[in-house]
Amino acid sequence: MLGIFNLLPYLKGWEYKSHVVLRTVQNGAAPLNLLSIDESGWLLWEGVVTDDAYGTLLVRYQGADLQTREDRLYPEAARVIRAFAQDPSGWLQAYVRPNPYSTAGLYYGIGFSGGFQGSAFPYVPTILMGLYLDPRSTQASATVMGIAQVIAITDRKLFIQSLRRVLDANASLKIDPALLTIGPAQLQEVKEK
Amino acid sequence: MSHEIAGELDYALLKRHYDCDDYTSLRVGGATFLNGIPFTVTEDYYVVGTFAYISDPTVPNFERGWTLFTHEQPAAPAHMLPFLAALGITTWPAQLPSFEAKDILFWSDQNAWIRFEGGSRVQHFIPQNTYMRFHRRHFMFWVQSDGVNGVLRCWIEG
Repeated sequence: MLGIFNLLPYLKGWEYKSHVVLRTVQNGAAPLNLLSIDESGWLLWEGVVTDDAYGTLLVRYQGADLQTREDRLYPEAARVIRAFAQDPSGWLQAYVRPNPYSTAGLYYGIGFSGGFQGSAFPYVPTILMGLYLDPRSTQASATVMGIAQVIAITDRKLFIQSLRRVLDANASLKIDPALLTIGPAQLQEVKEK
Repeated sequence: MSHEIAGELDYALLKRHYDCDDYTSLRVGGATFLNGIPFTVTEDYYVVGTFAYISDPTVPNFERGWTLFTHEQPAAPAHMLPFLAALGITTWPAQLPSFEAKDILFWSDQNAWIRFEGGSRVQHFIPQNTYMRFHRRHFMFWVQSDGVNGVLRCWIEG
């Protein structure tokens, strides 16, 4: 079934973006909130590259009513459920841990939205990214890199107008201002014909 | 060395083709100073990879499974003390370069007892002049005599 995700090549006002954060984090310290972006779009996938099995990427994003959804991504969680190199929804691509008594190693885990199958996590309007090292780590500190690959709507008005034109060549380009606002909004009532 | 990895399965390891090896010996310039671990009634320990590292300090390789192992012992193994003294080494590091043994072959010239990992784990009896093989994965093992001092030889892969 053709969804809006598949129509994106014909639309205007969007672009791919990679949001990347990289820090050395201390064991047990509060999450470092490193990136806060006002942006709408789709979260395609998120990834964590780290030298500790408990190096964690924290991603918060909002829905249409500004409720917040939170993802916490760390390699050990995926190993526990044996989610190795699955596609599209799972996740652990590399797990090199030579010493079972130490959480040090080399890890790469990703969280897919299933975007390549035609769906992605929508977010409106904020994406927050943080990093931390869970106290279950045996290391005092670790390096963690977090990645969020998104499809960002860079021009909301143009995006809606182009969508209308793709679906209907004679479509009106008038836009209810409520569609351009962030968060809960009241759409204009239109009289029935 | 080759690796064929698919779906996180490392077929070399699956077939027990290991990347690391160790043998409890100390040879310098063709002369043998140690050929096996001398053991007594006082239990002694050995961290896998110690003599491989002493023989070649460049051997530790993260991708081949080498790591820093915290042995949690207050002092060096007794059988190491003469060599450490000769080298002028007075402090014993809390962490040693090590790899996880996956195949170990024991031979002892006297009856001995060994145990893996912890100082209170079950002891396995090693009859004298008998080869005993284990596939117990471990970083450290312990050895103790059955009353008569002897030497324990250990061929280790992992």
